[in-house]
Amino acid sequence: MSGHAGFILSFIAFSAVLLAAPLLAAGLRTRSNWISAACMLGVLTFALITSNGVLAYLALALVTAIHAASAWHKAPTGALYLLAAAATLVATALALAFASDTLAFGLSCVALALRAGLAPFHAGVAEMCMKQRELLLQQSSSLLILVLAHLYYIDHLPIAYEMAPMLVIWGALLTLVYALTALVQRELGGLLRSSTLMHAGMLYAAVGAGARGHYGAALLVAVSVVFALGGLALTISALEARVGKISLTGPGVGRARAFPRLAAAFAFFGGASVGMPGTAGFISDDVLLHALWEESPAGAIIIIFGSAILAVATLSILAKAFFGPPMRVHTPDLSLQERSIVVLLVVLLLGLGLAPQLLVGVAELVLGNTI
Amino acid sequence: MMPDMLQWGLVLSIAGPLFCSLLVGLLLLARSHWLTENAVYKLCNCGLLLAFLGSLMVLVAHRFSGTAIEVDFGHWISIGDYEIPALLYVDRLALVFSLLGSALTLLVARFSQTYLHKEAGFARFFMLLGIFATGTQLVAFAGALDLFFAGWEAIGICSALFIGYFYEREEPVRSAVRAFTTYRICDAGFLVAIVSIHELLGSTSISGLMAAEDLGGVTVTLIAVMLMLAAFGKSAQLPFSSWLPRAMEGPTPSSALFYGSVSIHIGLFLLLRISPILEAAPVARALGIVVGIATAIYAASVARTHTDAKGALAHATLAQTGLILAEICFGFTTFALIHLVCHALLRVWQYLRAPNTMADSHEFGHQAHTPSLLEKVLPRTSNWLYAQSLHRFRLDDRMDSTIAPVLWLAESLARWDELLRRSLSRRQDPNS
Repeated sequence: MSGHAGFILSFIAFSAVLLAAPLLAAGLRTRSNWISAACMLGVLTFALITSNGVLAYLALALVTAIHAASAWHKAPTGALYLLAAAATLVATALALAFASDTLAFGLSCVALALRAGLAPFHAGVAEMCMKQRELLLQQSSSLLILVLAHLYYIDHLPIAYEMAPMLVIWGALLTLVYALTALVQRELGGLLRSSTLMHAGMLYAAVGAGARGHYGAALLVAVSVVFALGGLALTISALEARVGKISLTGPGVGRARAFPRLAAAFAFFGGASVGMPGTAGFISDDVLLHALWEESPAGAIIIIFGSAILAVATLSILAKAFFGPPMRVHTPDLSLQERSIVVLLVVLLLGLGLAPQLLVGVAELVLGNTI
Repeated sequence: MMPDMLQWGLVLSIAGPLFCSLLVGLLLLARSHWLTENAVYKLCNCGLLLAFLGSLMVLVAHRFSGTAIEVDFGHWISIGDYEIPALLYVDRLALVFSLLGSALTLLVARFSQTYLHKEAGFARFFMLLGIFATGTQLVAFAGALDLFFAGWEAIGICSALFIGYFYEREEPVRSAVRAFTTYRICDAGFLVAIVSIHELLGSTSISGLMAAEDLGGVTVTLIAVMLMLAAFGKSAQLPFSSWLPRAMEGPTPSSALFYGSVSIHIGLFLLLRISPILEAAPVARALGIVVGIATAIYAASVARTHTDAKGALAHATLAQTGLILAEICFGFTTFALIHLVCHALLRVWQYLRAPNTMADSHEFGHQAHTPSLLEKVLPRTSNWLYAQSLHRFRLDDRMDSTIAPVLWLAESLARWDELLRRSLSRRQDPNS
């Protein structure tokens, strides 16, 4: 990427931290994935630092194909969708190579939808939310780079500028729809699914706003969504590994007494995902709403209500999953290894919430100056 | 020296309690046995003390002068032409609310050390108290509506978690979810107002609200109504009053602090803060007067039929907040502020005394029922009012029936989404 060398270096350093966090978290959790995580980190860093859009998209396609291979046995639909995303990313690279702007824009949007889980391309991500949460966490780091690549190579095209209101409205509508579905989930994994699909809508709206110059807002939304949902996915899978699948249909069960740290982590990540003050979620929601208001006030209002509804659903599910008559269990609370991941994500979410300029300032300078 | 003192005071009052609470939280997350009950109390109390001292420092630096001072700490975030300024605003109103909030929080913390001794959630209670103190100070000193909203949300989350403090019982948890639902839906109005104010006035700074009168009549009325919606939710005004009696499920000290003194008045503080907008929106003020008086009548009649001390106190509190709302909307802002402070001080004492009600009634005896004027003049109306008050005018049922279509829509959407996902999923071999 061209531009001021100092800013680019600091941007790369910061992005490496962002990239490494979800990969590290997934690697620590599964232990066996270290080598593939390290390979992916290398390819993603290449995608980040190369100044060539074609190469960046090809690198992203390679990483997506690796994700698909990891998902093949446990989440076949997820793997199929990831493969489709990889093929779409290759096609985007070709479209960029032949300077076909409209095609490149359309394909990149489809790839983003397939990776983020935007309806009607959401069946793959929805399945991963239920069956392959470690992979979901790992693929979120490459999703971040995909968002960045889209902002950098695609969002400055005239077609992206013209289509921005459509992306915003579609994203906003899906935000509301999936926030509503979160209200009626019958198992804990369902909250993660609804929340992920809801945030995919929000991300799409943010990318739409990015086409009108709001790069920082789009990037901040992507980062906070990845960290908050990553933490939520980790917490839910850690809990289900201890007590099995958790149904929400009956009265609440007091798991908070047995697993106080898990309950606190769930509450924190759930809160961060719906804009709890002090976390990156609050600031990204605020910035996104201001950006959206300029493009579509209706879209902004829909997202405000979507976010409020998801917050209610999250608290209600927290109550059903953790609060109630105490439960007798003999499994331990978060292990030291899991705690270290949780603390890392908490610190990142709080750090970005209290000092968001660290990320946004650099991103705005790099993206804003060069596009 | 004075500007330094002002800045340090502001920083201490806002960041002190938050820092101590976060420290306790991280220590508990790392190693829970490191912290004894006494250590938790001392650390959190230290934060609350810092908040109070910070408020006093700001008071000394400002000396209750008539002028408002803006203290600029740069910006929280700046993207393109949009920024959230880290701007604090010190005037008489901010000082009164800051001192009231920090002093009462400190007092309640001392009371709770004994009251909650050996309770399972002791550390949780004090951590939340610290976050609440930060929220209160942020609301009091916020120089921009975005900052105000951050403090406002922190208070709302703490409030819901305090209501569900005894989470092993079903009822407190259900009440917490109900209160939080009311908060969040009403807060959507606040967010819409903040974003539109920023777009229309170019900033959300409190001092910039003076320019609201330049906006068109309809626009300013809509913004005022959105802000009032948030205030009605937080201060439990009609039709959002049903969460308040349920909020009494929380421990008594938190009830005293939240629903007797500070949190219940935050909505009214917001209306005092945005008085330039209210002045330019007479229709919204009329709405506030109607809602305030209706809430006062509703709460006063329900309070007379309540048999439990905290429930009756909650409705008595609500009646007074209704009156304060009406006073603000009539334009008697100074009178409303005095009323607010006196009311908060009285209620905190009454709530903290509430567990002693049985002992008091044994000591002083019961007051015999004397027929009211309404009972004498219109006995049928009085009976009807009594019956309605017993059921709290079925506010809960009415709210539930309002929410029912939303839940039906959510169920339908979830079903449709499942069908869509199934049709788009890869069929798995049943033998694999």
